[in-house]
Amino acid sequence: MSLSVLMLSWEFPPRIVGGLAAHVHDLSVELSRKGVEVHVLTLDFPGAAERERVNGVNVYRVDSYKYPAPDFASWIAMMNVNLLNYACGLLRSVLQRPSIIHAHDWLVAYAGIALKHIFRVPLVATIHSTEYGRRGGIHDDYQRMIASTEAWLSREAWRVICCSRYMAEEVNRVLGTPLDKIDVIPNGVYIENFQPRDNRAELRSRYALPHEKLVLYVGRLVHEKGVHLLVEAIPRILHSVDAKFVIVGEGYLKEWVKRRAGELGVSQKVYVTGFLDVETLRRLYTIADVLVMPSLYEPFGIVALEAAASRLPIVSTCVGGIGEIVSHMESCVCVYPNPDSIAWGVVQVLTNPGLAEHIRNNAYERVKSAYTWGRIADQTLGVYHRVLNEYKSIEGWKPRL
Amino acid sequence: MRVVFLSWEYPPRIVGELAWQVQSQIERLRRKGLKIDLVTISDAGYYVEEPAPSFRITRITSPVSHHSTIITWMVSINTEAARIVADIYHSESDRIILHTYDWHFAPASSALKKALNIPWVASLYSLEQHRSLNPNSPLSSCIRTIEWHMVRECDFLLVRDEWMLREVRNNLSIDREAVVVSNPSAADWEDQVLQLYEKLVSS
Repeated sequence: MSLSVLMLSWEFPPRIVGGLAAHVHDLSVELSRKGVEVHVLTLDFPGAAERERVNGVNVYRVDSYKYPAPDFASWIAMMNVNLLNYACGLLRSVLQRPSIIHAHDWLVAYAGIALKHIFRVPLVATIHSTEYGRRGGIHDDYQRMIASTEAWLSREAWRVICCSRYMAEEVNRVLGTPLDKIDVIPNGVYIENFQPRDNRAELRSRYALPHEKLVLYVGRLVHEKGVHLLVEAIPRILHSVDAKFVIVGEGYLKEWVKRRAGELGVSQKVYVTGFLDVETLRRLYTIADVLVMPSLYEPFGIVALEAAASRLPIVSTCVGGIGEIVSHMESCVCVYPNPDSIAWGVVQVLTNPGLAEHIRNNAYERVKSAYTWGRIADQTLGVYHRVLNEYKSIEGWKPRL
Repeated sequence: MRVVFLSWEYPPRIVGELAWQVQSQIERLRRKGLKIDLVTISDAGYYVEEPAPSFRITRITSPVSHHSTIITWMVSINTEAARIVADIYHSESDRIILHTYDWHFAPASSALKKALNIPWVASLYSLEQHRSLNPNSPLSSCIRTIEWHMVRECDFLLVRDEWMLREVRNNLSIDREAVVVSNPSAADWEDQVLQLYEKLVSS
């Protein structure tokens, strides 16, 4: 019998909230290519079909607003009730019983755990980040509730997958999950999607003058991503190099970035694009001169992979998972999370073509050898097979015949 | 046949009148020889009791330590209830019926019915429309929507009198034959309910 997986994720393209959508999509497609029957249960999106087949993956989209809710957490809870109901009907009619249920993050914890027990199917959970990490600690009961839900999901999961050793240690420390229950499997990238395209000069001219270097930031405009540190570094960088700073992403700091750039007298050098479509973003990677990742918290750092796949030199604080992808002066310039250090790193790369060439080539080779989706799908399959072998070998906890 | 009752109150957890109603109804059905499981809520941790032959009580608690509203608490409790009922289903050979009280365990019951083909009887003693000071608030709207789905998805809905029947029809816009008026004060109440269970098991 072939292996079948029911993936639960609150986002899947075209519903994109963060990096989870691309992760679940790419992993599902790659597993399907390897012969796994993959079913993704996710939330609805305007214009997207309720059921469709995407690159070999069966996708089901559930009405996420069936119940009114007083707050976000209650909406998540009732959205899980919808997911669970839909999945129960699906598993009885179309899918039969999958080999594995794979839940991504606390947002689908209720449905994943209930399905595990109702059908007695082993549950695998990927914890992409923790509330503790996202908030820099747990400060109120709302955050405590989310952290507690994350811990519950980790307890109920047969195995827990984290994208970096850093995250594995955080999940161990914060959620109390034993380290020997956690498998570290990184995120991946399709290198072929990040190769140079035509009309690069034309695209570049939209963002920078010919003599200006192009400094790129990609990420949510929130405190944990450190965009505020980059903004403060801009005048110091401009002191040595003439450059344009393209800041891609949305977040609560967006207006602050614009206002602060004005206060620093560098508005004409800063272009805040907001959210960009995938294609434009991939092209931007290929025309920029340096990518800056000034993150304070980064469970993995998918942007570093995308930049490396585009042969774009990286300057980063190398916190969290980034430090496991790149290393200082080999495949990246690592800096401290303060404006002076960030400015120093950017100037190093922009004024030293030999260094830029060296780190971008090494980063590209590193990504090519260790972060392809084919390799990641193989590692994930290894976890599934381990879980299934253990499940088969135990007595009890099998479905009623 | 084994009936699994799900109620958010049962002595010593007494919130209102429902605790006594559930206790009395279970006792009357137990005397008729019915095998009964009760899944209810504990505020002092998970534990199992067997107060009488063929009667087991499983008291469950939320696996999540803090909650923003009663909704997040209740959905986490429902997940636990689904786990307990699924364990009973997978480990017993009896045909199982679910019997719930009010809206609290509707999400788990709906899923269990769909997934494992377990028949579901729902008793309705009050409506959010009656309980809430602001029935149109987002919280009450959410609970009213749960009630709306519950009365449509259960196999039989039991109400205790004609007034409640009218209230259910008016507030939840339902006109189903599956709404049964069955007054627990009636001397033959347990026979009526047992007949209903038999009908569900044989169908």
